[in-house]
Amino acid sequence: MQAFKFTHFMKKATTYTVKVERTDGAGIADFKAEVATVPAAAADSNKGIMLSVNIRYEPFTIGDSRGVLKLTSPEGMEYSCLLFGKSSASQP
Amino acid sequence: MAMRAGVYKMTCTFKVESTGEYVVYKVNVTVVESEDQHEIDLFSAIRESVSQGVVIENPTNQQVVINQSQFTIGNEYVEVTPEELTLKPRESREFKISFRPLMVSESQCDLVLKNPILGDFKYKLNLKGTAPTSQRSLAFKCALGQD
Repeated sequence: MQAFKFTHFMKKATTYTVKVERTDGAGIADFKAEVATVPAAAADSNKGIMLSVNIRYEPFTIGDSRGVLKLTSPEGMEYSCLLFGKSSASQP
Repeated sequence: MAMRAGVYKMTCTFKVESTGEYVVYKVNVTVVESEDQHEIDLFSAIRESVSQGVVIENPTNQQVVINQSQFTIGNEYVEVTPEELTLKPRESREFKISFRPLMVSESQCDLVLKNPILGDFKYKLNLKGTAPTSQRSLAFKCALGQD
């Protein structure tokens, strides 16, 4: 599991919708976000507010997986992050 | 030189000392607001910041203090620094206009500095947010059956 950290600069409170999609074919993505939404308070300073969302990698097959994480707000803010996964055979 | 808009009235008398002859002129000067002084382009990738310096000149013989409350800005993501600028007589100094766009878009806004001594300074800002310059990524590695 890893955290995707991003800085919220908007000077009003909002809620980001979290979406994870597979980009290397159809089917269920090997990546999952721990939450469906991320609430953000208004950023008072120009430094913004650091937020994060945890992404879990749960591979079903051996090999590479690719996906994309997208966070969108109703105001049109958008953050995206490419996800790369590599799974190997389980160790005894 | 008038710093502020308004009507200035004065009387000017030319006198010949030896004969006492004189002629009087009543002068009315109407000073109007200046047009937009500058157009400033502030273009940046979204969530990054761009800034540009603007020089203010103090042609008077008195010290002038410019603080942030004297600025009116039509966009909440445009900022002016420093918080306070002190100009000595006949001195020029620079303040900085910064813009951090949050969305890919283009817009315009006005920035006006109203100083009680130096008068009004108007600027038109062309604001543009462009696509991000970098793409973030996360890499995961694990054995099957784990996470």
